[in-house]
Amino acid sequence: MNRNSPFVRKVIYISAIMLLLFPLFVLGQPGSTSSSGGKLSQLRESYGLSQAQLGEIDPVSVSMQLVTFGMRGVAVNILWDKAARYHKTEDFDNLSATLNQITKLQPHFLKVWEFQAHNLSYNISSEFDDYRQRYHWVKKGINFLINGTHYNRDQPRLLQNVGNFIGDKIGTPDERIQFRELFQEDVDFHQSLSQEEGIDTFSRRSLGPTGTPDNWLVSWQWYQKSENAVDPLGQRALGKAHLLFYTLKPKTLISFAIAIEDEGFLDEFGREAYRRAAEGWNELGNKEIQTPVGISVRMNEIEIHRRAVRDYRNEIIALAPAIFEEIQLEREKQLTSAEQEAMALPAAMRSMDQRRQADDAALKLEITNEEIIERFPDDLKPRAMELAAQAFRKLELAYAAEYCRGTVNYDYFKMRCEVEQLKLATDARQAVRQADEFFVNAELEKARTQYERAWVMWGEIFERFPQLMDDPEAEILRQSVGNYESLLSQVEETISADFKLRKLIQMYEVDRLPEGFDPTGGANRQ
Amino acid sequence: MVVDPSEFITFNEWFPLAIWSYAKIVLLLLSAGLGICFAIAVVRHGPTEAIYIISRAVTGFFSRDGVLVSPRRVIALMQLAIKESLRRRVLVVFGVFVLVMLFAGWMLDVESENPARLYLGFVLTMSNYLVLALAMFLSAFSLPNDIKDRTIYTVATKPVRPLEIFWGRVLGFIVVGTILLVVMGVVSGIFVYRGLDHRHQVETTSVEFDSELKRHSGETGPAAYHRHDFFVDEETIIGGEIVGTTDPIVKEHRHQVTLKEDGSLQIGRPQGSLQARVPMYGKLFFRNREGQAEDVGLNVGKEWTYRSYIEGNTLSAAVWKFSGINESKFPEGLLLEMDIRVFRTSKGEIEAQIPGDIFLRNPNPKPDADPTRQACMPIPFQATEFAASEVFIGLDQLKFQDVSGQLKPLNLFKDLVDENGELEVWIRCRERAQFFGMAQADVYLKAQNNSFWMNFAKCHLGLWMQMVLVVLFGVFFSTFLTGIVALNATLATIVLGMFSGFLADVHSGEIAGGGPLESLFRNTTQQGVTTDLDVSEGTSAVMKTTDRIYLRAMMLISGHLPNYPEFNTIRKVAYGYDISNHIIARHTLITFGYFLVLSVMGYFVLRTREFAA
Repeated sequence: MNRNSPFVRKVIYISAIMLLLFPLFVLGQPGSTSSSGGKLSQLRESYGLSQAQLGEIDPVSVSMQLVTFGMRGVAVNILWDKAARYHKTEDFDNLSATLNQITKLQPHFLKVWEFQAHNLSYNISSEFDDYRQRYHWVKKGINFLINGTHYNRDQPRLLQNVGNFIGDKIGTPDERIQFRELFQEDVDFHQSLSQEEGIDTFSRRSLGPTGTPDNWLVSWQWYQKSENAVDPLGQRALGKAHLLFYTLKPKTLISFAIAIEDEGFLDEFGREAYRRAAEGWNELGNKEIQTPVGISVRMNEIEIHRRAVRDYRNEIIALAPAIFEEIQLEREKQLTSAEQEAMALPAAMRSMDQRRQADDAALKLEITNEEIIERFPDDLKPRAMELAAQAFRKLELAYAAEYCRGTVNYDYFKMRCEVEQLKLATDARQAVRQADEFFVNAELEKARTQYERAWVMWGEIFERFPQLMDDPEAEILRQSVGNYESLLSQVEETISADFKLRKLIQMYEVDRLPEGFDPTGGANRQ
Repeated sequence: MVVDPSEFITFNEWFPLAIWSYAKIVLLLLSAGLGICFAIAVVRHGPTEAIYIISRAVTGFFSRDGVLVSPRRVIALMQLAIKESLRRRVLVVFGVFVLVMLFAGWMLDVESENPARLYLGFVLTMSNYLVLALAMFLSAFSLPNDIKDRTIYTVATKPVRPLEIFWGRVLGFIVVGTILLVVMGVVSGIFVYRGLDHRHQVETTSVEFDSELKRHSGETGPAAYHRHDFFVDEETIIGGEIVGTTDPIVKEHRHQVTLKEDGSLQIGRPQGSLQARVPMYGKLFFRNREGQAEDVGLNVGKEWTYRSYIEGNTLSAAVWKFSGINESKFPEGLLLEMDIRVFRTSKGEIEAQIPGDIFLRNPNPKPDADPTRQACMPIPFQATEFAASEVFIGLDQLKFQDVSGQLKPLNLFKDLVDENGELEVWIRCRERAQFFGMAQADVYLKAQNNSFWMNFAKCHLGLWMQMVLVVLFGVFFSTFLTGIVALNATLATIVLGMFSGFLADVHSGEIAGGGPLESLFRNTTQQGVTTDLDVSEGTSAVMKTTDRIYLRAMMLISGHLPNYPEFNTIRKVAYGYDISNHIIARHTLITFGYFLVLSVMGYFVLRTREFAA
């Protein structure tokens, strides 16, 4: 080996490094105002993956990611293990600190924020016996999630989770009365939401009947934020089906109305809350929803679609009415005498057997568009088939709308909002509530007067809205009717024959009611 | 706070057991060392010469090298080690420490409910790791570098004894580490104090005056992510000033509130977040729902079995037996501190805490004692979790009911404390279908608070002893290994010492997933830790047996190495508990024990070593 060989080797190494650096430079060149940068920069831009596009740039987070020298995955694994251990050994302060470290290392991993926020608000909070401590940890989970929205700007699912936590976790657990009060008094939290998150906590739309911010109305604003963050291209995941995503916002207004009526605001406040809820629900009905099968539909247009289906069919029949009548006659002839008899009777008068036969007959009499078109002369067939295809498309839309309405119980909530806006309904509830209180306090005469006043109003409500009989609220009302029965038995009387809620008694036997029903019928509801 | 059961053992109970196992290990090492040396000497020089060599070495140590150590030469060598350390830029470690402190706020949860725990835990752990790392690097490379650079000749050619070289190095590095630890301690102290210090303003719109009670009450403004409610009674005058307090405790502290002459209210600095409670622990046993004695209570389904539970409204009880109760220690009564956990099986009254009763009982009443005077009437309390709540039982509070149904006073020391100074404290849960959970350290008698800063210093003493141990091992390994190997060997002693508990848990199966071979296999084949291994029985047996042998060997080694977590008293300081003198005495003796053994071993290695080789 000659004396120059180390020098030659160094030159070769440096040249190789330079050569390798060149493609690296071309690929990794950062973008600027005048150039779109290298390939990596362009890809980052097109997928919205650059730090600045994802959310706030946190120097601590970036530094921590850098100092782990590519061992971020290992570090995160160790931290998750530590977090699980701290949880197990009830060392919640260290757990909370560890979670912060995890999120510094994985700030854009949405599942971490969702999972651990749920852990804090739901699992850890329940470890505490004092409801104030539980509230503190619920809030800690909410703040954790809000922090996640800073690192991951405009992520609908995170924003919606914040709304969900503020609404449901504060407004629905056993200790909801205490939690809602704590939330209403939590001025510092309201201020931080208002100043740092742009939530309008002190305006009329957030204030409940007590004049303080209400958790349900604040959660509504987070839902609004999440809807605003939905991008038309659908690059940012919603985290759930379209329908469920868009239902939460109007539903929170219904929850607000239910909550304040439960708390005793059976007056204009309650009715106004339901008016607002009805508007929100109607807005949902008018919203174009993408169903899982790829059809977009508006729930309020179900009747339009059904009518269109009928109109198209009538048009098909009108092309050759004689053919339709001919098929109808053929089908009628196929019916057995028993089926014909059953069909001739009014539905209410049919026996069980006749009902079955009538159903069978109806099936036999059903004539599809395809069956009619099959007998059409060739010159009518193209037009008829076109009409049938349009009818089928409308039928699909009607089915999709029906599916959506069924999934979110659209009709029930629509009717509930409608009923609860009536003064009759709030007065009826108020009367039952007062009667229950009198009953619990053994003021039987007063209780009886109030109950009887209430039954008249409830009778009228059920007459106008018979579907309400299937409502869970009706089950609760049944408990108050039970109180009334008990009250009457104490004066050796029974319910009169013309009692307006007799059907309710038949539907819900007291001994069949689920356990845990409040015997006061809601007077002391927690 | 979670307390390891070994901490309940006093120094007097521990010492006889420890000295016996220490003697056994020393004898074992001595005989093994002598045996190996003798065998080598026999091979080299024959049996007669071997006996002569060995006896000369042993007598040489006891007659000359081991006893005629010159402090002057040791100090000179120590100075040399200090100079060498400074040359090797040990101050970089301090720089790293300061840098981490500067950015600590970024990583700490400033909204934590227990900020003192987090701050103290953070700074002390940081100091611990940095000092151990420094000790390891300094000690492991010192002698090998001297030998490599041949600077050792300047020492070895002088009339110095091997033990002086060893001690000189060790002491030099200890001095450097000590200075650094002291400086880190001071910086940590300032960091924690400043981090926790805050002032509130009074929220003037919230202040109300109750003219009947003559009480001002209201709310403070926000500071450090919290507020307080406060009250000031005009009749409470301390030091010439009308003072009140914030209540309840928020984030582990209160503030004194002073009513000024001009009618304004002033909130003082936080109090109580930095403290050193001195607990007096008792021995815990349980009574089941039939009232029979049990070692453990009920398991309510929690995976972590540190705490046991007692059922409410039954004969179930948790009983602590305290010793050494006398009038001079508790002249006014007993101050109990409790952290009783609650497990509800029904939601019950949401806003109410679960009530319980405390009974004091005489564990060994005299045969002729009045049976009605052997236990006091129940003292009610409400369980508060995750924070130590105080229950003061005044001497005049203790009552018993005589046969006529009259409530009469009891004398704590005559009626309830037995002749051996023992007393039983019974705790029962009052509410049906609700449970109280407890561990031995959850209820204790509180004597007084010691100085927090003294406790802080004691904790640093624990860190210092860990550093001494690492230096001893580092210098010892460097007497016969090259630098990098000595470093690895020292690191291995630290890792094995730190994770001896983990090793034991893996070996016992407490931690699922098996030993290194099995877990490597599971990792690479993506098999869960709790599932049966998806391999043939033979392969599984081979893997498990190899792991078992390996873990046994590791446990044997780690069992003879310092248990570093035991020296770590950071948790005690962070949770505000005094580090008892029993623990410090135990740690000191363990450190001294290692110092003796490693010095002797280092001496013999250095004596046989030829530096010029």
